[in-house]
Amino acid sequence: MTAASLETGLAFAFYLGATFFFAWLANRRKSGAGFMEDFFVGGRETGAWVMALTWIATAASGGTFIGAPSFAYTYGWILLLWISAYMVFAVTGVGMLGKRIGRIGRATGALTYPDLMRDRFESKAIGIASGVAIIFLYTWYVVAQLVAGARLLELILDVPYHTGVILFAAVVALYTAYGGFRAVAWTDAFQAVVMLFGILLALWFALEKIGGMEAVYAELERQDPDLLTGPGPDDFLPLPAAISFMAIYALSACGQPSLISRFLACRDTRTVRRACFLIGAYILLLYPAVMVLGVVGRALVPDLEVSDHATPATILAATPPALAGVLLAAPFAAVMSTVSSYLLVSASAVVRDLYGRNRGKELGEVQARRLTTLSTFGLALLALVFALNPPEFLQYIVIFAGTGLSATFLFPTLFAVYWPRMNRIGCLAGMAGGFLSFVAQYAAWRTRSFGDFDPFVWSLLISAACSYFGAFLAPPTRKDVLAVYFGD
Amino acid sequence: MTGWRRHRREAIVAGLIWLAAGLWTRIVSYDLGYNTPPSSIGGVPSWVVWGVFVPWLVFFAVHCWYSLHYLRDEDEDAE
Repeated sequence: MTAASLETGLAFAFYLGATFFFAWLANRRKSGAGFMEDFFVGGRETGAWVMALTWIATAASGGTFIGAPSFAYTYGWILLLWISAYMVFAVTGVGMLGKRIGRIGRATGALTYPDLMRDRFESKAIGIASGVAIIFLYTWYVVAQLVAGARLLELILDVPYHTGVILFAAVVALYTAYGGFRAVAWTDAFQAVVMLFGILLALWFALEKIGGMEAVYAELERQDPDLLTGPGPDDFLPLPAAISFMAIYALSACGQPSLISRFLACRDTRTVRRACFLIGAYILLLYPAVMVLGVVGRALVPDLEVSDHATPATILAATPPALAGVLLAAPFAAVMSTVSSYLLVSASAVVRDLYGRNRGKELGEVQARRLTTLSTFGLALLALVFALNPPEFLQYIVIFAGTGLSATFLFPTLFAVYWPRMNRIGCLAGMAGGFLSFVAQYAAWRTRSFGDFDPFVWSLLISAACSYFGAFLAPPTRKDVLAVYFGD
Repeated sequence: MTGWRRHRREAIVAGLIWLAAGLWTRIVSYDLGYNTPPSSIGGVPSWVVWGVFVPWLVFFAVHCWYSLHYLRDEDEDAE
């Protein structure tokens, strides 16, 4: 190991040590609620700052720090339009469902997203279907994040890929199983701070190195003027695709069970409101900076063979080694925080939604704890098996899983909490319509469906129509159940 | 207006804000940035300034209004 990579490695080890410290600290604080409530929703005691940071750290994944800057490196400034829906991400992600979901969770005692839907419609089938979909789709997400984490270790510290992916999976599974929601939320919060400062400092150093934005503009114009205008090189973002991404990025967050379940952990409506403000402020600072870093990288290190290396290569080229270790922790933090959240949501689906609520009696505390630990490690192991030999089409599966989850769950959830006439048939029809239409379009046309729009756009509309008309095929939910949700 | 109806109105307003942001960014960016010769404002393409950065700041102000003023706290124990 060279002196430079030793310094980078030490800085990186410091980051990992701090992550475990926060997990340990979180685990020392117990709420006094039962194990399940404490483990899955942190005793519903989460405050605004931790809520905001864990929400954004879960939403920002390896894709945000590796995949998107890689696109910016390849296609230039058009990526700013591509991600611009994030300007209203907090308003849609929190405002559309956050306050309402948190309120219902506190009133009904729901611990997970399938819990919420199952109780609203008194339907075991909806609880099981949601649980299975969550486990299946999030396992693929975890695979993709493990691959991204191992690639980063490979590039930064020369750790062989297979060693890296095993180490990474073990570290995240360990602190997730150890501390549950509170440990995940606290480490997420720490990681979100690392992400923000890491990216802002990296951008500042990169601009210093190249001589400012004017120099970047001149260099990009010299390389390819298409990098400066729409739709970008290779017709990257035609207008229908630009419109699709306004829906994908701003609305897909609303329908993600991993983000919806965050609101179940909120202390009160004041927490949701303040978290909403903090998320918007954080996004304003982070997302444009991440994309501009990718664009600056194209000017600073123009000859990369693999564009996925844009973020780490730009950081390594622009900053001193010791600082590079700290800054490179930013994308690693994004990957880690996403994996831990998805593992937690998937483990809760196994323990609570597939087993606990279908066995006829409540799980005992010791049994619940044991099962949760086993599920967390089991799911991490399953993802690890796929990650050891990642399929070539993984990125397609990831995009499919992300938008597919939202196309399946968004409208059934919106109608469930805002429309008293909604019933179990409407919910099942909406989920089936969204999911099946999405799969069919994806199989036939991949990411460009009718009129060049993304399949997500059409599936959302189909899911909304199926939910609405399906609800009229059966009687409304019983009045005493509705009184719990719409009695105020 | 209280309870779930108030929540529903807040969700609809969130949807309208999303729609307004979508219209501004897509129309302005398409008009200034697609199939036209590039021009720069301080090293940033001018269509990015008017079609992305300026609306981002404007909608951050809207976001502040929405989260700090429009979303309402509730005393859940009192209900």
